[in-house]
Order: sequence, then C-alpha cells, then structure tokens
Amino acid sequence: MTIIYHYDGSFPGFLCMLDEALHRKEHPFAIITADAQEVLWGEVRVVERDDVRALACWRWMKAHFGVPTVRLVMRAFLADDERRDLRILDYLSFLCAVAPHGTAALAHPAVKGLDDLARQVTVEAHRLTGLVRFTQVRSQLLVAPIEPTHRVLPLIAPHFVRRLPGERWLIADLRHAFGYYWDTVSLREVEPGPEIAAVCNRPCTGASDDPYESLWRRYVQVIAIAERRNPRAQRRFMPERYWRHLTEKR
Amino acid sequence: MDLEKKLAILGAAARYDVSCASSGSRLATPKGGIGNGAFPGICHSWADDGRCISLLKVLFTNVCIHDCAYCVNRRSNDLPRAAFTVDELCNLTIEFYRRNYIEGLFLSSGVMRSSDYTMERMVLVAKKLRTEHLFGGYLHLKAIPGAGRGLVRQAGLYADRVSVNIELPTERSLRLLTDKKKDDIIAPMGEIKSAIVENRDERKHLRSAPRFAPAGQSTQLIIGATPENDRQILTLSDALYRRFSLRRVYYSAFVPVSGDPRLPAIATPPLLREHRLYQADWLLRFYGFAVGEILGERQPFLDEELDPKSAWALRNLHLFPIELMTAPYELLLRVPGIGVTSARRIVVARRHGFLSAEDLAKLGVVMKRARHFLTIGGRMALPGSGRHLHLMRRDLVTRDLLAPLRQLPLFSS
Repeated sequence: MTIIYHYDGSFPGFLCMLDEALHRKEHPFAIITADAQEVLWGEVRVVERDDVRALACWRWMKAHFGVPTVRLVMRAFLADDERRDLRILDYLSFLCAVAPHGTAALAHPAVKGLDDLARQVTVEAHRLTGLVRFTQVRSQLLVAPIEPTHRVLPLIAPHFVRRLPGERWLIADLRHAFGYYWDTVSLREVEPGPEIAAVCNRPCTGASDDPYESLWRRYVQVIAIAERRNPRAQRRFMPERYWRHLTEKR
Repeated sequence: MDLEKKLAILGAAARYDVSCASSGSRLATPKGGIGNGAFPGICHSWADDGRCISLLKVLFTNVCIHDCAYCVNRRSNDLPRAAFTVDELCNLTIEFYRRNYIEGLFLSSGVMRSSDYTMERMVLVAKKLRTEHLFGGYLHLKAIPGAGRGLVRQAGLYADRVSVNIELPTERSLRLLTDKKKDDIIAPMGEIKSAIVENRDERKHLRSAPRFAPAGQSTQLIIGATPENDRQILTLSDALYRRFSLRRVYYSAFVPVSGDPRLPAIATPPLLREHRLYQADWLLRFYGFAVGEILGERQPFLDEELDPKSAWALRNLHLFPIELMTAPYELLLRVPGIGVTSARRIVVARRHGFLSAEDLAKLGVVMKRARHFLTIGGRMALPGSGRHLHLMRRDLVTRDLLAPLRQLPLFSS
C-alpha cells in the first residue's frame, strides 16, 4: 500500500514524523506538509506536532547516531528541496539498518544524497557570509535583503552576531519570507514588513544617499586588472542570481 | 582631493598585488568593538578579472622614491599621485566592514620620503584600528623593504599577516630592474620569521602573550618579467617555505605597465604559466612532491598542455597502476584525478567494502584521468585503461583550460 506521511512543516513536527516512520520501519511514498492537501490515493498518516516527543527523538538521535550525523540532518533540513524529507528519512533508515555510525559509507546513494544536500546548504551559507550587503537606513540601522536558494539564514545569523555585536541590523530572506533582527542584545526572528520591502525593492539604479555605497562601487571597478578580464570566472564564483542584492552590481 | 578620487588612485595602484587571503585568524571580536577573524577566510566579491575581493586592498600612498621598471608606481611614471591620511583610511575600513563589504584591510605603500617614514604611517593605521576603533577584523601589512627592525616587529603585533614582496626571483634580475637591494628585502623576512618563532615559544609559557602575525607571512613573485625558468622559481618557493616558513608564495603573471626596454614586450600576461606554477606550488605544499620530482634536471619549464601531476605520472608509469583498496593515502594523492578531498574520502569509504569505478566518481574522483592509474581488486578500474600512452595523454590534457589561457611564447629566441 502507498503510505504518505503528513506533518506540519516545523522542525519539531519533522522530528515527530521521523520518530514515527523509523519505529514503524516504513518507507513512505511521499512526505507532505500542512499546505499540501491534494492527496488522491494512498493511506495518509498524520503525525501531530508534539514538542515533548520531538525533544525525546532529538536526544535519541544524538545518542544513537552521534552528533555529526545530527548536525548533517539539521543542515539538510534547511535545504530548499522537494525530496528533502524523504532523503533524510532514507538516510536515517539506512543507518538504522546497517550501523548507526555507518556515515562513512560515502558511496551509498542514501548517504551520498544527504551528504550532497547538506553540502549545498553549507556551501551557500559560507558564500552568503561574504555576499550579505548591509545598507545603512535611517540613523544607524543596517539592513540586508538576501534571496538564497536554501534557508541558510539560521546558519549565518550567529556569524553576524559575533562580528557586529554593537550594531543594530536586520537580515531578511525575501525568498523564504523570514528574517533576523539583532538589537545589540538579542536576536529575534521577524517577518519582513512593508518598510523592509521598500528598502529591498529599491530601483536597480542603485540610487542611495549612503556615500560609502558609491565608494565601494568605485573600488570594485578599479581593483580589476583590465588585461586579465575574466567574466566566466567571476560568474562561476559569484553566480548571477546573487547580483540583485550586491551593492557593487546594482 | 576628495576621498573617492583618492580611493580610485590608491586602489588601482594596489591591484597588481595578488594576495587577498583573509584566512588564518581566530581573533574574537574585542569587547565593545567590531569585527573578528574567520579562520577559513571569506571572499566578499569577485572583480571583473575573476579575482576574489576579500580585503580592502589599497596603498597608503603611490608616491615612491624608487624606480623599479616592472612597477606601475615607479618614480619616473607620469601618473596622478595621492596619499590617505591615517584617519581617512581607518574610517573607510570600518565603514566598509560594517556593511560587510570586506574582511579587513590589506595595506601596502609606495615609499614616501624614506622606508621608515612610510612604515611608521602604516603601523599607525594598524595601531589606531586595533586600539581606538577596537577592530578585530583581518589586517595584512606589507613590510617596506629597508624598514627598521623595530617597525617590522610593531607591524606584526597589530597585523594578522605581514609580508614582503620579493617580486623578482634572482639577484641578477633585481639588480637589472630595481634600485632596491636584495638584503633590504630579505632582512624583514628574516625578522618576521624569527619574531613568529619567538612568539610561538613565548606563548607556550604564557598564553596571554600578544600574538605576532598569527596568519604568518607571504610573498609575491612576478612571472615573466625576467628570464628565470620555472625550476628556478619553484626552487626559490620551496626554500621560502622551508627556511622562512612562509604560508604562501603568490605568483603574478607580468602585466606590461611600461615600455621599458629592459622588459619583455608581451601582448598579454602569461596566465597559463602562472596557473601551472600554482598547480606545482600546491603539489609542493599539499601533495608531498619535491621540486626535483616536478621538474627534472633537463627540464626547466612546466608542461603547458599537462598539469604538473599528470606530467609526473606519465614520466613515472613504472609506479602505476596502484591498488585502490590498499594504497596508502600518500600514494593515492599522486594519482591524476584524485585530490586531497577525494583521497581522504577513499580512505574512509574503502573500510566499508569494495569501491567500484562508479563509487569513485561519486566520491569526487575524476575517473577520466584516474582510470589509467588504478586497479580495484587487481583489475584496472575501467576496462581498456592504462595501455596506450597517446590515449592516456588525451585524457589528461586540459583542453578547455588551454584555449583561453594559451599565450605567445615569452622570450622568443
């Protein structure tokens, strides 16, 4: 029979779903979240979010699979990928079946698949630590809109907390519609409001009253050696999908 | 002169310095300050020439009392000159850093009045950033050739990295193209090296002792401005890595910046040669190769068509094929198509059973190249491999790289 799992899309809900599937030793045909209703056939198992159960599952995973594996799963969960949940489940069922510390079987499709997904997230997060561009709006508030492929913001926000502890800043992920605001004391998750949207959707002409933006643009121009022009390398390292929010490319 | 104009002049003047690394610092953000080190380094942008921008790389001034033929800022070159003030540069660094444009500052300079006078200004910028702005980001200072030992030591106390550019690989070339003296260049390098060694010792006894240039020192060599061959250059690099414990030697393809008759007339910078030198440099540092293995006695230049590892493998076919399941890590590293990452993965993954050619591809091995040098359980990794030299060569030549990078011969004889 075709089995379909359903959970609410949250991380605790996800852990409950994993707990259910791993203990039943089931391989669902699909895993869907709250906003996907149209199931035409098959048996749907709805797993309710239960934070106590999620915490227990979290601790069990840490003890059973070890911290590196749990970290890998967490990173993979941040990926924006249709088959993300199935891949994570495949991976954990493989570990249950073979050996809990079987992470080293790198060539196995289940391990390889999840490893690749987690790597994509890690690579993009690292890239974004460099490509985030703050714009100074009003007195001292720094705002940075980003549109990453994956939900990397939870990974990079702590980096900016450590780096710019005395600044008030906001990083807004427009693609996944959430952001983090640091007020020099604590970090809060926020929903990007209209004011942020206004800052983010400034016309691409780059008109801004921040003098350091034009200084930066000028600097990026003059630092290139004309005789070594290499747009292919530039695009390979810094894909064009990020350019919209780069001060020097706007 | 307004700041934008200064930045344009002094940024453009610094662009021939290759180094832009921001790795190697673990400095935490100072209390009440701004900025920290990111140990692996972070690239913030890529310029139109495809090179990463990690640091604000500028000269303090492009005024210079020297007249080095290969340098765009030489005294006799007629171009606009400018100089930052210490405060301008500090503010610019902080404001760029706040907006996440950069990891920190890379400060070099032309020699204004005297070496010491110039070095003093540069050290002052570093000192002010660290002690007044409480800046914890990355600082890279160039030591000015001929600057006093005390100043070089001070630079290392504030900076993450201090470097001296050798620029030309032999004393003869130096004498021909510049009025700088070899000893003026080598002395600061020795000073930095011994300060780093002493500091390491101090910190063994006293953890709180201030760190001296925690990201080490580096240097740069210009490639193709003088007739030295690749073996001379790599031998020098090897000595620098061993004797001066350098972290990096950078190679910079010569970009003609003057019509000086002592310099070769070339249309485009020798980028392919630069690329092959970097590959060879990697073999020295990460792959356990010796210079003599990369380039033999009668072989002054690296192969243009083949990367240095493939060239070595083809010269040493008697060592191959090697057995994937049992070969030690060091030997795996010598197989074309296997890099540091894939060799590490192989060592872990083979504990779990046999690896097929398909598995290897998944681990990141370039099978097109590696197939000719590997057996798995006694059989060639892929049938039909490793037999005909011309087929092996065909698989090893990096064609898509050659087309855009291939240059005219440099010193046509």
